[in-house]
Amino acid sequence: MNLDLRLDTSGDFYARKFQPTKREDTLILNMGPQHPSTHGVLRIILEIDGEYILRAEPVLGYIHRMHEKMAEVMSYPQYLPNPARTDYLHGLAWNWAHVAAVERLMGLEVPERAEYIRVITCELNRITSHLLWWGAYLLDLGAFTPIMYAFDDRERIQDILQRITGSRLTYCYYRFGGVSNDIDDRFIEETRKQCSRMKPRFKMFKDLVTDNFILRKRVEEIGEIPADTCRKYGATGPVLRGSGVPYDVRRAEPYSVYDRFDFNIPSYDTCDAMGRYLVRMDEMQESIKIIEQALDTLPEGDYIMPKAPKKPKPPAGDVYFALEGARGKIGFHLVSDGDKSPYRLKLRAPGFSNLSLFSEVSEGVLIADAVSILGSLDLVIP
Amino acid sequence: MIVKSLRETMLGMWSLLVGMKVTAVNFKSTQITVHYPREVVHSLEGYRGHIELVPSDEDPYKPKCIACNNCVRICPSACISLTAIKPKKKAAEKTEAPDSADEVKTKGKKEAPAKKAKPELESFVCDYNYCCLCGLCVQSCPTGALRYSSNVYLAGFTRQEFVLDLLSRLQNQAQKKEQ
Amino acid sequence: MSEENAKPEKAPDKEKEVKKKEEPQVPKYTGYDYDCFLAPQELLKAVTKLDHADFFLEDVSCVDMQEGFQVVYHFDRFSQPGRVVLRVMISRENPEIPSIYDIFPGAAWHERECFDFFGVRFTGHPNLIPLLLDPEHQGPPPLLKEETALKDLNQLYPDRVHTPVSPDSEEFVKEINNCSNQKSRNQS
Repeated sequence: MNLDLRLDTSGDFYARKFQPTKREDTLILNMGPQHPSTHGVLRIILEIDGEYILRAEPVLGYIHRMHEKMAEVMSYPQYLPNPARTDYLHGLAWNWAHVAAVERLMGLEVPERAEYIRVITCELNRITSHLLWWGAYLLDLGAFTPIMYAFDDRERIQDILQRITGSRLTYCYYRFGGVSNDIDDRFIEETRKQCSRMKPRFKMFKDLVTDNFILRKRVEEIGEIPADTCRKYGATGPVLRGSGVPYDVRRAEPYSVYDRFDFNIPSYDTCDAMGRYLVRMDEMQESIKIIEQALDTLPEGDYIMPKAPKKPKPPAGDVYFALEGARGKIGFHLVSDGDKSPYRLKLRAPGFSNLSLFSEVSEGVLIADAVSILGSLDLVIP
Repeated sequence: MIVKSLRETMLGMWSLLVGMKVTAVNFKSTQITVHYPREVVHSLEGYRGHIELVPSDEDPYKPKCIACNNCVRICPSACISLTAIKPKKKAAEKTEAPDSADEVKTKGKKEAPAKKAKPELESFVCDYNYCCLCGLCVQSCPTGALRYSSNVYLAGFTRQEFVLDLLSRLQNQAQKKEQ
Repeated sequence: MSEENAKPEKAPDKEKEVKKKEEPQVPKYTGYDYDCFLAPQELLKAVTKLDHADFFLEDVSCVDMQEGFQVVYHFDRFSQPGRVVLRVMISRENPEIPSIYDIFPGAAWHERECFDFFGVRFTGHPNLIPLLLDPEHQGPPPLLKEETALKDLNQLYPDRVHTPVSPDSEEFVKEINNCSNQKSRNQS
């Protein structure tokens, strides 16, 4: 038994590899891996001078599950439940990316009704994701009440989704060639009711939080990310749109039936945390607009193609399918050798690229502001 | 400078008042949470619990399952295992099935003579510890012999409690119904 | 209706279109608007050109195959969306490739991920240490395949040219400048 209680100052592998600046009298501080503001298991090694951060190095992979390897040993339908587990807040988008990549590779034609159902459910899921982010971000900044309001709405949407998909968080709803369940009149009616309920709520959210003086002090002019930094790091989603680039995969590379709906792509060129905050708040309203339009024009027909392959064997080749998740661009690079399981599957997680610019942005900011920046990136650490 | 800080103070006070107003409005609204365990949520529709076997139409003691192994093959977490008796061996198996669950099953068999070529289900075990609730087994079933249970308040102290013998569960359900 | 019909018809370049007619087995939709093989020593040159053309890095991926590792770089553009994919073949015995960290700092983590999973060494990377795996991970990188399971280029990408393109060639410059998914969208 080691009774030497003197501090081991050498640290672990990452702490030893950490390259501090040449300054003296600085302190190395570990933030995380169980820090509440890091949302998941993320550890950040900080070199601080007083309250100011000189260098930050995120360390991740504490709960890496190697979904890419799992894909190689499982058949295509067996992998269906997996993608939603990579991003537990916007599971349907990942589920969609997986089935769509396989569909594209096989050249399957999804019935129109199924595409509409996918759009509706995916957008509902996007709202729940943004609502959770909103509540959790404000929790990081010290406001407790908003998460209660957020969860009120979130739970209602989850109830709606649960009736149809059977799950509340890790959805496994889409199938190759369609969806697993048809939606019924009650779903449509409840969704409409929820949409009209949400609209005045945004006004309330704005009064309560967005216009709040304290919040504005915490997010305005904090964590400025210029558009070119976003490009160099491959940041997408609200982070990019908060930097003034109106790039949205739903518009840039329209998949499914998104080109038929009229919606705006909110973007703010303030480049700060407030910009990213406002983008997400506006996006929820745009999602509601899309859902209402989709419900109005919902076509009749099959919810899954009549001869949907139960055990797909896509032809050899590769495909890259990208779609817009709540956190940014989700990419599936699927290489098939014509067998029943993928030869190689590469997942592009938007949070991965978004987080990698953190160490550049956080240089020279206060620790409290770094928490604000981390929250505004909306991370799901895989 | 003073003007600015005064303005900021006023702004802060104003947003405080607006926030208090929102809180006051919501304070008057009805309670939306459920006081578990004294109350429970009522909408379990669409809830996907662990799977259970569907009894066949003619005999509630017998599952619809034809032991085709489709669910076993598709399960991503390999948590289903089933064994079946080939119809020829049936007579031999009957004598060496001493435990009560099997007795009940064989009784059921006598009442409704099985179709000749159908293999008889002997055991159907779902290890709920590993189940990921994807529902692929239910969808892949060609006879519709599986469904989701609505057993939502499932809790236990050991892992073994979640290794569910679905065949005896079906028979217990049938017994309860008869009583 | 229209969009779904248009997507399978997406043809990144004419060469492919001709081939598709002969061989219907090729996947109809690839998601790539320009797809080319590069020699490892010319990667940096090509990536610099993409940087000047305002592309951003989507991800760096790797495929283990008989000929060696195929490192795949995906790029896209904000202003004029269109996906460019660069494929670089490197040998299995000596998996080394220049790092593009200096051009796209965002590549740092993607390259570390590749190093983790495949053992590909990126020369010139400032901090090539395990990112997602345990630093004390023993044994071979997890995504390497068994000898017997390896497929070759012709099995994975049938009916296409595998010869490297030179980033200096006019074709490359023209393709990346004109690269856009607009073409396939306007067909509908």
